[in-house]
Amino acid sequence: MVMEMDLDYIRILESIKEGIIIVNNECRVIVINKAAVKLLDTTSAAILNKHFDKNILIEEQKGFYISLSSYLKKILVQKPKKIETVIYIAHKKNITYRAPVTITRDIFNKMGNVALLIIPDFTKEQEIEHIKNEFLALISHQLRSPLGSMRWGLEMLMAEDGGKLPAEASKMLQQVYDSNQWMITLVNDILNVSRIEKGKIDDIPEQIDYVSIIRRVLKEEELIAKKNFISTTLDIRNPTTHIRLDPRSFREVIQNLITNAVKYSYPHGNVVIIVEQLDKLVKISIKDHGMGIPDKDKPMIFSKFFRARNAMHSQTDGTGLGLYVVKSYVAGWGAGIWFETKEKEGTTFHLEIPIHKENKVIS
Amino acid sequence: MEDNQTDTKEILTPQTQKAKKFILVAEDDRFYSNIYKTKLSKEGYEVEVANNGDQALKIAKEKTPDLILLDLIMPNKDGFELLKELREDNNLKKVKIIILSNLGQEEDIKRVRVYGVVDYLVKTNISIHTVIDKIKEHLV
Repeated sequence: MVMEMDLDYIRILESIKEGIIIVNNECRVIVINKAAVKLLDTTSAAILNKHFDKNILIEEQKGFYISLSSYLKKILVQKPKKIETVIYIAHKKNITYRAPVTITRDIFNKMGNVALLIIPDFTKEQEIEHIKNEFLALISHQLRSPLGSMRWGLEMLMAEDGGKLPAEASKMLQQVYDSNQWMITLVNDILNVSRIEKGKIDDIPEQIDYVSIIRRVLKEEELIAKKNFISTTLDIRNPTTHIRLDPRSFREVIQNLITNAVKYSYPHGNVVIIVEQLDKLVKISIKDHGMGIPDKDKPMIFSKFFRARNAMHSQTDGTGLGLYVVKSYVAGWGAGIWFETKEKEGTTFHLEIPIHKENKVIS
Repeated sequence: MEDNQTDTKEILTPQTQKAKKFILVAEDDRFYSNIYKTKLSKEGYEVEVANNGDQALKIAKEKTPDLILLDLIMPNKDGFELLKELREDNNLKKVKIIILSNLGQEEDIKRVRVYGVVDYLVKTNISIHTVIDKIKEHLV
């Protein structure tokens, strides 16, 4: 504490477990209590009368980070008076914390153009969250091991590596195999969800030939489609280039949407995938001729563990996580997804991915 | 999920005419290692299983395999460590390695990538037939 403040005030500040910081009109820290020092992983000597460390960031717009000090400089002369936002604090232990913060300016008459920052103690909560996610990841990995060996064992039995099988036995094995596949999907979805909730989806964007990823996924799905007499069409409307995205999450999203389209189509239906690359965005539409989504269920369709009523009746093997994962990934790219649907006619999911300048490939 | 269930029938490649290609399997789960052994022997490869990291390193140094199938979670020396030590050995620097693990997080893939492996496969997400096909591809 540097300012000449009443000892009483200082005592009050130090006893509060929220981090309290006051910055002056030059955005230098003039008051900081012990809790804030600890939350920012610094010392009072290192921060008093100084600007915030450059490692403390704020997400000004989606995917666009600036330092807290530059941000404060902007808002000190702006409205509104009170802002609730989130800052990212990189601790020396290599952990970046996401901390909610309330910034209020001009509340002290005598002190001029200053801002007060309040940071609640986030460490405990994030520690628990961390433990939960680690636990989920661990359990899922432990489950994967036996599921995988069952899968391979079943595949060998079904390929009659262990000898010729009676028709009845083959049928039963197929059912066991389907259950095994369902469990694997469930475990994978849980892993994805735990990763998403960790707050970092670990996207590694690179230039990807997204059309060829779509083609590959479609090829894999064709087998199941054919079984149900469903045809698939890929309609590429104009020339395409590469876009900059994480290939794994892109694949995951496309696969989820195509699998759903095939799964919820009526037999003899047609699943159509339309790709349009416009100036500033890539639009991918996946259209099925199927049961559609009932009005009542529309708002819930991207929620975790939610499944539409009609879907639950016709296909019992959904995990209720697929579209949640899709939505989370898509939001992470700064892209959009929505759908049009009519019951008993079908659903079209539209995916719109913005092409940023650096996305364009010079070919 | 990568799932190509094309029914690959075992074609007995005439491996035996030349010297048999040698595959080292580093895998601690007996069920998995038995599957590799059965399937790959049928394909005409010579297969040896190590069920921990130390043993795998010892066999690799003695016999310089044509290909190593490497699990990442193993007792006494895990796959990450083994990978590092294999790459430090002049004879084994360039040996083809396929990671066959159930770890599939980006962190794991990143950690492994620096050592140069020819493939990274998540066991649960791929059919055994596809695994065998990929092994064959890498040994042509």
